Amino acid sequence: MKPVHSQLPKGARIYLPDEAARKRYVEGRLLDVFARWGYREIVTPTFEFADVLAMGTDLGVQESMFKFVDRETGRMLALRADITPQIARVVATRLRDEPKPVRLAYVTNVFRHDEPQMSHYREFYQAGVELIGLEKPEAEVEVIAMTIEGLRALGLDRFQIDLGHPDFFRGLLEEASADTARHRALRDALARKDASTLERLVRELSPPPHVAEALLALPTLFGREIVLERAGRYAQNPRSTRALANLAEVYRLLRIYGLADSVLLDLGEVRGFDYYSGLYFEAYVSGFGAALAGGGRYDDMLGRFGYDCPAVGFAFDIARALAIMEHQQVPVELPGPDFFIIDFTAEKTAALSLARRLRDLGASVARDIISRGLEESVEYARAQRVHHVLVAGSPRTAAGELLTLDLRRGGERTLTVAEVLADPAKCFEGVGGAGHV
Amino acid sequence: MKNGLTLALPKGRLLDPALDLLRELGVSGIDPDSRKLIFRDAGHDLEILLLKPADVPAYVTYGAADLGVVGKDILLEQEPDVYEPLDLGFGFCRLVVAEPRALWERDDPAKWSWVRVATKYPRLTEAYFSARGIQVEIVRLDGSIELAPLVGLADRIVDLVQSGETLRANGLVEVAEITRSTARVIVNRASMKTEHGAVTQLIDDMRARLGASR
Repeated sequence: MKPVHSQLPKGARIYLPDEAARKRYVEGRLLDVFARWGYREIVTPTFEFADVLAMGTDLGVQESMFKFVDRETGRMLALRADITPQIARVVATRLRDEPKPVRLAYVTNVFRHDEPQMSHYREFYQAGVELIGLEKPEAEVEVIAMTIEGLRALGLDRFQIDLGHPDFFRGLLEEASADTARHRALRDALARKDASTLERLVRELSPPPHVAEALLALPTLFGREIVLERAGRYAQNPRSTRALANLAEVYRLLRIYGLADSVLLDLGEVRGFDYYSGLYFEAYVSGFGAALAGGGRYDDMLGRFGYDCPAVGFAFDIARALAIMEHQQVPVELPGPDFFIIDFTAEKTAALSLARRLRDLGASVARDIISRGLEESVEYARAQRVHHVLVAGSPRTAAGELLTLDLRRGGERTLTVAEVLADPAKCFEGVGGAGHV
Repeated sequence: MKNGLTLALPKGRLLDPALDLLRELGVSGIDPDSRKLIFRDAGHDLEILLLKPADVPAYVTYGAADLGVVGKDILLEQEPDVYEPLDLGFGFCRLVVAEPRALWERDDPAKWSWVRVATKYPRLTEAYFSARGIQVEIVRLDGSIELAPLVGLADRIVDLVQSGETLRANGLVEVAEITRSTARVIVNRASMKTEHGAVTQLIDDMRARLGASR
């Protein structure tokens, strides 16, 4: 019979077992980091009423939500396109009285009807945190430090954290009194660091000279600490000045954490403009043209749900992390069963008792159910990344004996079934301990 | 993992001025007449790729090249997610709507409600007409666009013009200008951050060189 290949809708993807294991590894490493910083996991619904989800979501993202009709109420439902507004609502309603700060972590799928690109599909996975109830710059520093620790936990190097603050630009826009259309055009040019278009727009806008100079300098206000000094000359309104002071303080704290080398200041970065109320950052890794993690401050987010409370957070894009790890050839050890038992005897009692005994000690044990030659069975075990093969009833061993093969380190031994049952840990290093054998 | 930077250059009309600029910066070892597509300048630790112009944004977006030189027309058409920090100024041309002279003599663009247009720039064409409330049927072609009206494939074309000579030679008249284009330097978003020093240096050198020759 010919296999029936079903067509996948655009943007949906399958993770085959090895890929799924890699994905699980990345999620596990990140959740470990989050747990070490005292964050607790939260799970939110995959779908909700569309209007409720829309309350905390950017217009652009709202348009990309997958929507369908609730059969109970006839109202529109939507798949979550962003988990942060969901968590904000939960905190604003259900966790309002919890002592602050609240530290929450998640691993989740998110759905957006975007053009798939740069390892980004219409269903994609994120791992991240929300730190709620802290307005001090220590909050930003905590999540930036966690992002860097996450990058290291994934074995990545050659990364940079790009640090920006939308209020520096917002303050300049207010001084220039740009209308919405101009404002949008300026942002588009800045997002591309397109100096020539920016020049034309500023000429048309003709703001006060010091503002014009500042706007034109934005694409180059980008680099190490010196940027703060250069930007200081342009900051003549309270909003821009506050933004710079905030950036300077966060940078100072990052230096104390010993992380300043991983950070670049970028006052011309305006991509997070609609989303973030304060400082925001993105993590880039050499050789991959999109950010693999990002976050920042969104103090207005909880207010949309009736509870004014400051918040910061960040998320990793799991698929991008996987793509970058492959690109940097980060080794990921893929798990396989600890044991594979082949029993040639008619009764199969050795296989049954060994499997039970080893599983009780926490080892993973697969059994060969198909009747085939030893060589074929071992080949199958190798493909499954089995560690130890146990063979009962082999023509090369006596009754009550086991032939054992170590497929990872090589070598074979003959043991008795009785001695393995009596003390598996003595026969196989690591059994009964933590983790793999 | 690579060290140094990779720069993607477009074959065709932008190549000569781009190579002139690089030579002025002391970059050597590029022979555009050979059949090779990759060149190295060891002194500058620079790798040069020669590509079809429309392919430059993809190489830079995905980080196969850190930087690229490409016409603004292509950037507007493809809208790649890259930085474009420098207008090189050369390679000036205009994207225009044109039609045969006979049609032009009795045509009134204000009355267009539906048009069929042959072009290499489907997105820009679509955006231009739909912003004016005109339905457009696009015939996507890859070259010799001027031929389309002559053989009745489409009444009008949207194409790049430099001097206007090709339009005239084919009996076509410009009806409207959609946009103007010059060559730009584009930069991969991650390279801008992770290779910040080297990228900024190269762009500053180019900018200084352009300033000096103007």
